[in-house]
Amino acid sequence: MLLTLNLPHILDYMTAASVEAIHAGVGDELERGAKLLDLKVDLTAGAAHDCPPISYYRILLRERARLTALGVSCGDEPLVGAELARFASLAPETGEGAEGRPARVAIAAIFGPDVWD
Amino acid sequence: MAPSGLIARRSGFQWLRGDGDLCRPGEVVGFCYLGLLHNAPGIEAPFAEEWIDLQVAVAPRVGGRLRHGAAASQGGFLDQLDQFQYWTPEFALGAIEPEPGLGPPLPGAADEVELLVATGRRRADVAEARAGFLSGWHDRSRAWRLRDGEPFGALLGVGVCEQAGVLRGESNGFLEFFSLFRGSGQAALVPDNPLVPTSRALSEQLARTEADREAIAADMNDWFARGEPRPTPADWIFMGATLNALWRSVLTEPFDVFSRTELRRAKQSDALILSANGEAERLFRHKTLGYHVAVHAWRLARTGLSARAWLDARFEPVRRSIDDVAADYRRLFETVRADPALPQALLVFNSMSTDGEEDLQRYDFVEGPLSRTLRTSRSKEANLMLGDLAREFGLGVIDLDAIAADVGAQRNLPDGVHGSGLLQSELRVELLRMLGAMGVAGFATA
Repeated sequence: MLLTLNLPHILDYMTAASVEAIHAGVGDELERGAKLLDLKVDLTAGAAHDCPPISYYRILLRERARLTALGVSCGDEPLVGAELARFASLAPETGEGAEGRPARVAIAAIFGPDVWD
Repeated sequence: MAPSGLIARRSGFQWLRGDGDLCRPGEVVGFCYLGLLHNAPGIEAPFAEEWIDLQVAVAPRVGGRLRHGAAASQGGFLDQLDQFQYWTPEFALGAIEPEPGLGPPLPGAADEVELLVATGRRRADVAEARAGFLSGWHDRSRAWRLRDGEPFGALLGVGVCEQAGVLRGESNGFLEFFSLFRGSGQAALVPDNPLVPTSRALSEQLARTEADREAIAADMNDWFARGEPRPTPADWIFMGATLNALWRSVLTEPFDVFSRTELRRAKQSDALILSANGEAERLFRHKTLGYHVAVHAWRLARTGLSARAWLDARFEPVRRSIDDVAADYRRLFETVRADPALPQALLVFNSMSTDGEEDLQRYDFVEGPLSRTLRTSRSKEANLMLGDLAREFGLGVIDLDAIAADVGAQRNLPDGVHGSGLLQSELRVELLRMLGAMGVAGFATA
């Protein structure tokens, strides 16, 4: 079954995110809990602010799947709803709709990169 | 106004409420700049580092419709400079036409105004910004109300921007804070720019000797003298502000206050409030001098090349676990408690421990301690740690986490640090409640 991951709406007022890290490669078979992407969400929307609201998130897979396509690279800034990745489910076929469904993921708020990175 | 024989001069008044506005008793309606002259030779003038931005806000004791006095404001520089008029008690600032339903009048003569004095210490003399009440770039700003014969307590806030919102408020002049209690007290704020005041940094300030300061300054001078990268004006300002922050020990710095009749010199703070949000996980340690600094990552990203190169070359990153932060708090609190001249009432804002969009079902993707990777885990552990310190030191914890959840964190604290006016108001009330419960003089709420 085709599983798709679109950029989720993580925060109010969020319109896009920056891809900071990709933790899986095309072809990888991923277990539940596997790390997929690290994202940076900057709510300043292009206007410089003091104390800007910048936060970092990690997207994790909540089901077994094989990564079949990546729609982004590090540094890309996809809009909310943009396709990030596609997967083939590794779960036994259950006869669910052949057109696929959104991948089940979890989102974790993480620390950003070290200023020395 | 003649505190201890000083002569008060003033500017014209700048109105904060319009002619005809309804005003409650004790509501600040305007302010002026103030100058204090003394005729006694050999006496050190008060407010040595704060005299330029000394201001007085005025409030009627009776509620009603405000009428501006014809001579109160002359506009332009005459409402900013205090050289041209003396403060005289018979001057008619304006009038109040009493109206019912605005609350009981404040004690005292109805035709006399309540006074709230404010000032700030400029980071450098050139950092001038006479744009309003308590405007300017100050490394310490404060406001106080002191009535003759009343007990007086002083609160010092040292933390991140959340404290500016709670203490200085939307007015930027501590007006909301002082509207919540009627006693005599002071609120002061040391902000988080350019350096974030961590507990470790505050302990180092207390222990720093004159020789240590000279070594820090020499190191900075040495770096700039290299001229590579060539320092830009922004670099000079950043380094100057950084050196200023490292030179001082904010917990030991005295302050002057005055009432209508009395000048009180070299007072010390009675209460200290810190920010858990300011206890950065990552610090910079100077490789040879050993001191630590914390700078917001976004500020570093906008720092000039020379200042950034100085940090890269002379500092190394240090990561702190929750246990490390606890040790830093303990060291600071033990030092403070051992010296009665330091603020004995200790308080801290805890931090929001949840992220509304986080929906983790398992944590096995995290390598190592959860608090090293997950922000919310770190905040939860930090809040628990503060609970331990509360029992150990009688630390007053302002439960920002619970208060934000009560009022709606996603709407009122969307990024976990910058709160809405509603949240700031709730935190203000809780802070005053706790100051009163801890017995800090002056802050009993009305």
